[in-house]
Amino acid sequence: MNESPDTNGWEDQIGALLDGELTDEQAISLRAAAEHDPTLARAIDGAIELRQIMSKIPAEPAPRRLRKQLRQIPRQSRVVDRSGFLQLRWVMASATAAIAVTIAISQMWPQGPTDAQITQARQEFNLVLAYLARANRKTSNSIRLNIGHGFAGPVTKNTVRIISNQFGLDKE
Amino acid sequence: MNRWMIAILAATLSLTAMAQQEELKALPGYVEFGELSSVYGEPKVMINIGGTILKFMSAATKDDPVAAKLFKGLQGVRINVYSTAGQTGPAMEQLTKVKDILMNDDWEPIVQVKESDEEVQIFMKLDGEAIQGLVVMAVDGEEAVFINILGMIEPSQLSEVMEKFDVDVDL
Repeated sequence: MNESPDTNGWEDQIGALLDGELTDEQAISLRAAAEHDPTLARAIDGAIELRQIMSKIPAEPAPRRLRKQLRQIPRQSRVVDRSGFLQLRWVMASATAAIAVTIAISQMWPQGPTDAQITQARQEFNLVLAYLARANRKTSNSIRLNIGHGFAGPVTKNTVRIISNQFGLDKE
Repeated sequence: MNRWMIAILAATLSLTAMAQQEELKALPGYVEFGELSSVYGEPKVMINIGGTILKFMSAATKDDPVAAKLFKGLQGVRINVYSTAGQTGPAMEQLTKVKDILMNDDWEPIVQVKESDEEVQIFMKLDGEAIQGLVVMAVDGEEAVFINILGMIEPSQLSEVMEKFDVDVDL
């Protein structure tokens, strides 16, 4: 929101650059301008970053009614004056917020994790078990040191077995 | 404005991670381990596995009924591991703080190993005969490990799964 008016003037060209709608000459001109204008360079970087984030969002077809309404918007209305652009900003910001909320909801109540996510979780779980096993070895060693191998045997095989024995939880 | 929108997206994605953490916090077996990053830097291992993915893991282990049952009962698994690099003092202090909290919150001490440069504490939260949570804290000159397992844990199942999985990883 603190962007300079100059940057705002480049917004359409940045959008066109990302959409591949600039001619080679226009693209070269824009990149040359960015080399001398850090604010513009940051704006381009930010736009590319945003586009990358947006591209990772799973897309679902919009409702047919909405698509129909969008098709009815005259293409000319995309060219707007400064006040119109400010309104467009708010529309885009609202849309971004709506997308973000949708992502949040879908992540909190997902359709289901991917196989890769399950595999990763399994590997992470395995790592947790490995740390559990290591803690178990430490406690087992200490028990052996304190009460000797003979008496320690029944309880040192596994910490969870110790827990289990203590509470009789492994008995049916 | 692009930065603004990126900020909204980033904040929302963070919000979902926080929401999952908040979901775990509501469980009776959840334990707050405190903050050690200021002393040891970021954890070398930090894992939070929520109940949803554990249930899917359960479904993915249909061929292993014991593992499937274990995953089904689990509601969350958390681990924070810090490198102590020989400086065990702050981690030991944190371990003692958490231990005091657990003792005051009716957690049962199961195993305690305390030596000059090493300490292991294992606690369990029970509701009747059901287990609601397990906490393992281990500090030595190499690492400080804080593990919190939430949910209905059947120790014999955990033991079997540990034996079936090749968990004897060289950590």
